[in-house]
Amino acid sequence: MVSIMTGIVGRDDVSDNDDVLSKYSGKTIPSLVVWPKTTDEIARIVRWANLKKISLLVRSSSGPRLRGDWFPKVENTIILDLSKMDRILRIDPLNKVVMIEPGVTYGKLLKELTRKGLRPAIPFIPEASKSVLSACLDREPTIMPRFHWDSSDPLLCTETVFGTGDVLRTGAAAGPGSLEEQWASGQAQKNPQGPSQFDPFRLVQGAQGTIGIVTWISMKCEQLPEHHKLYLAGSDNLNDFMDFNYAVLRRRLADEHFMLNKVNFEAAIASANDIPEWVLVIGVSGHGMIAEEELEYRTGDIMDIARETNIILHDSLGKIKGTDILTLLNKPSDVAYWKLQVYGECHEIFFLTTLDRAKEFYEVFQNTANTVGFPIDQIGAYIQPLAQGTNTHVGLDLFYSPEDKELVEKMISLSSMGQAQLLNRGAYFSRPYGFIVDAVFKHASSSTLSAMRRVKQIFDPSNILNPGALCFKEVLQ
Amino acid sequence: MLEKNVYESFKKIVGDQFISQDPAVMDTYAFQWCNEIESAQRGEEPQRFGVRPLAVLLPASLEEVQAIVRLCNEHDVTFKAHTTGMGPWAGVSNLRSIQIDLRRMNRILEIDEKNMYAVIEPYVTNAELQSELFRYGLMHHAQGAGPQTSPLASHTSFVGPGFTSPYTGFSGRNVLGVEWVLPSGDILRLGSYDYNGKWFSGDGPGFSLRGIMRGWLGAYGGLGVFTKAAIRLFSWPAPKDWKWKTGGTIPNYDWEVPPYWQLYVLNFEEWEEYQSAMYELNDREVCMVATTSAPEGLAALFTNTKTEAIEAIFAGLLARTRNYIVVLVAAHTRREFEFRAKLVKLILEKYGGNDLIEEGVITPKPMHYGETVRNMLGAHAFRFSNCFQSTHGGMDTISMAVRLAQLNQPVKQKYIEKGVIGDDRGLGVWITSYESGHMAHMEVPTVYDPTSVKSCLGYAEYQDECNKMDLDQALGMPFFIVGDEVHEFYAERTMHYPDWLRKIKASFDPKGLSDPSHYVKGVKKDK
Ligand SMILES: Cc1cc2nc3c(=O)[nH]c(=O)nc-3n(C[C@H](O)[C@H](O)[C@H](O)COP(=O)(O)OP(=O)(O)OC[C@H]3O[C@@H](n4cnc5c(N)ncnc54)[C@H](O)[C@@H]3O)c2cc1C
Repeated sequence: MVSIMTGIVGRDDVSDNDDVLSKYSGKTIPSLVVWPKTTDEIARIVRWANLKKISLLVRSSSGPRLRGDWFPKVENTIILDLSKMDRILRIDPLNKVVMIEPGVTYGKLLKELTRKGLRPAIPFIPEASKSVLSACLDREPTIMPRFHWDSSDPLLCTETVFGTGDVLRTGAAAGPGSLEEQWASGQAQKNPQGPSQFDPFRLVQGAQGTIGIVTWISMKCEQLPEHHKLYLAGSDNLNDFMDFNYAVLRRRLADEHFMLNKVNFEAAIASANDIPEWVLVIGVSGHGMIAEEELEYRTGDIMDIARETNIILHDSLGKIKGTDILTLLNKPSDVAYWKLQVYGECHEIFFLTTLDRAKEFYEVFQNTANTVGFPIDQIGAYIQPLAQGTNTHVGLDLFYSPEDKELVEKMISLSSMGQAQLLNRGAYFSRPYGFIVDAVFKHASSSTLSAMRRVKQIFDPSNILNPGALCFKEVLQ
Repeated sequence: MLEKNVYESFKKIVGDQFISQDPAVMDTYAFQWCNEIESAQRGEEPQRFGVRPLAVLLPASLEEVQAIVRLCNEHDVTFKAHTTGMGPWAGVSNLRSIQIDLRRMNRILEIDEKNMYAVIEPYVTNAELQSELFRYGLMHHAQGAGPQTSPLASHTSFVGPGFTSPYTGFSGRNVLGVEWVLPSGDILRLGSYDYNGKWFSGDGPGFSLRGIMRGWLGAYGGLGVFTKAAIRLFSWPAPKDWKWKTGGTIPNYDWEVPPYWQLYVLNFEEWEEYQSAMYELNDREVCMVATTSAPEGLAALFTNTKTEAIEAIFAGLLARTRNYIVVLVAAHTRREFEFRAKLVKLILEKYGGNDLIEEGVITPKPMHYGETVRNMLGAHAFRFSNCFQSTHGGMDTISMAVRLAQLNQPVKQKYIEKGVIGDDRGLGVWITSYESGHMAHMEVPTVYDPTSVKSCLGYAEYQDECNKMDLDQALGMPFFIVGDEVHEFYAERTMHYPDWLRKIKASFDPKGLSDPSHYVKGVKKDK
């Protein structure tokens, strides 16, 4: 295996060193880590793995894993670490789009885009080493719902090596013509749909690496604002924000728009006295000609809505200034990821619902925490409206110290019991990881499972891509 | 012929009243706009009649649709869903086919005002949905084909630009979930519904089965029947106390324009300035509509009769109109309106344009505001002839749309000179942006004479030349690239995508019974 891989990617980019392997190991230890650098190398590896029925697991980000699920699930797995494919291939300010390889991190991307007057749709203070491409592929929520038209945004086109080893550029990138020819004709790989009568990008996205390996994506961006302000409101009751949230989302007035509970606010932003149970964060901006007037009109209309819905927006919360928060939101986390700073470890739970049910789910989860004895003040919450307000991501972060064995046990019970309860009440785990995966698919209808298996059969017939993930439990033959 | 026992079994499903084999009725399904072009492109004598179905069934429920599809599987009968049926795409191709006409499934099942989505059945029309939504201060994305067509058909199965696309996007991107009778008869519901009975997300768990559902163009009825769709809604930009009020009579209806609405026709001497302005207007989110047609098209857009349109032309419209953008600013508040109106003026100035409405070259009446948001302007294209169809259609950036328009002009002019298509000096295009300019598409509405064989063949030849040009110059994949032959024509220069499509078809429709004529057959054709 080593010699074959060395033949494809070169000696320096293959390792079976125990120390290296351990970084990629969960319960199962992979047999090899390979760092491919081109689409062609990946395609050759996939075709070979097909013949040999060797499983492949792709990783693009380095850094911590908070979902407990990104490790090999079967023996004899080769890890394809794409972090060395880290080029920003193209930035097109006119068409507000960037094309990136898997290893590009938020840190690197933000720097380059800012220079070109653009900003990406970015998740809430991501890890510095997080791969932008893998966040997009995982439908990771971003903090500006106004620009989130479809659940798939900001992902646009991709180049994908399917489980068969075949390469397809998805969306308008498929052709006619090479990428260079498309650029010459004024295109910028902006239409993610197609080619033609299917949307392969929707099959790779959310697939947790079970359908294809993506070697680059185009990703939509927005213009960098010249004027940008941040407002905050506090309440002890999440539902106090509801009318305001719905009205502002409907009007598409704000940029950043999300809520944090006190625990997450303190963990991610700053701690202070008197932080309310919930903080609503609203960013407003203006750019281009009469940018300041844009900011004024947006702010004016938002303030009117606030008045009508009994919300008071402030530009600071005690000593914590909106401007400081804005700075935080426009860069990745410090080297030590904020979720790990407080207690050392964090376990993430997240699901989709609608805004009007977020509070109910939060309380259900708190009750379970009380039952299992996990401290409420170590549960962070992040509520992120998506798709211009059509649905909402609820993220629950369980902070704990790995040394505290008793708490680790409680965390595990809370995660499994709490998620099961959320599921039973209608929380939608659209991106299932960890404890909840099997329960989620048990709940799925047989026709959904059958449809998913058919898709898998078409794009990864030998089941070599991340076997064991999602509902694909078949053992490699 | 359908065997008697098969017919009887179908009849049992829907009842006596809702099945027909009456030849006159069958003809109404076979007689369709654009069939003459499709037949010409297949190398046949152009004709309006397509294939007559062996029977038409009108199911009333999901269960009936499922039973019909199962019976089709049992007896090897091809089927095709037909909703509002505007065009040949809902027609059948196989001689042993039935038509599933969904007109009895016409309920709006849910409007979730806060979370902004509606759940609809197939035969809810854009007009009906829009009227219901006004009450909630909401609107949906309606395809440009008009108020009489089906938003479900557009969202689940068929393309999907509309006049409000800068503000409401594209049908395929606004789907939140569907109820779907697969070609096998199994029922599939996408996304969140299985978990809580709500349709707020159509994706996952895991990857999104929307990926096989329609793609960019829609499966055109080639992959089963959709019985429900949840679609996104958008804010209707009018103050809360505004009411829909109409008056007058045909053709001069009146309509109470909401207070913060303003139409502009921003005219630019050169494409370059046009393009810059189009980018900036869209990026700044000031337009509900940003659309472009030919000068001749402008005359048709904002008049009520052919005579009026011709009068506008004689009054000098053509001479004063170059590359223009019809912009509708539609704001919720005075503050929003004033900002947007100011920005439109500044952008116009920046790129040296003029406003043809301000200059009196064309004067939209209040009704035209209503027609714009009801997507009735497209039908004005029938005003100068009783027929048109579109070539090209690639969708990506505003620059590509402009380049396509420029390159298309001499090609179109050639066919105009041959006398086979209507004369718009080759300038007739339709450009619209989507999602605040993140995407755009250009197509070329082209007027032809459906009663003339020469004109139909000429149009078909023009379309073939356009397709070839799109391939050679990498100008995106046009609309209507559907059906095996056409897919194959594109395959080589588009990474052989049809191979994947065929595998999807073979897997989900092993017997090939969901009419493949505007989709793909499950097996690779011999070259
Ligand atoms: C003036 C004019 C302007 C137009 N402008 C536009 C435009 O801006 N944008 C645009 O997208 N199109 C446009 N069209 C093209 C087209 O006519 C429309 O898109 C029209 O909406 C399609 O037909 P329909 O809605 O009546 O549905 P149908 O003809 O009933 O269906 C369309 C297709 O979807 C399939 N289908 C329908 N319902 C179902 C179902 N329930 N399950 C499975 N398959 C189904 C059908 O089999 C068929 O292939 C225009 C046409 C005209 C004449």
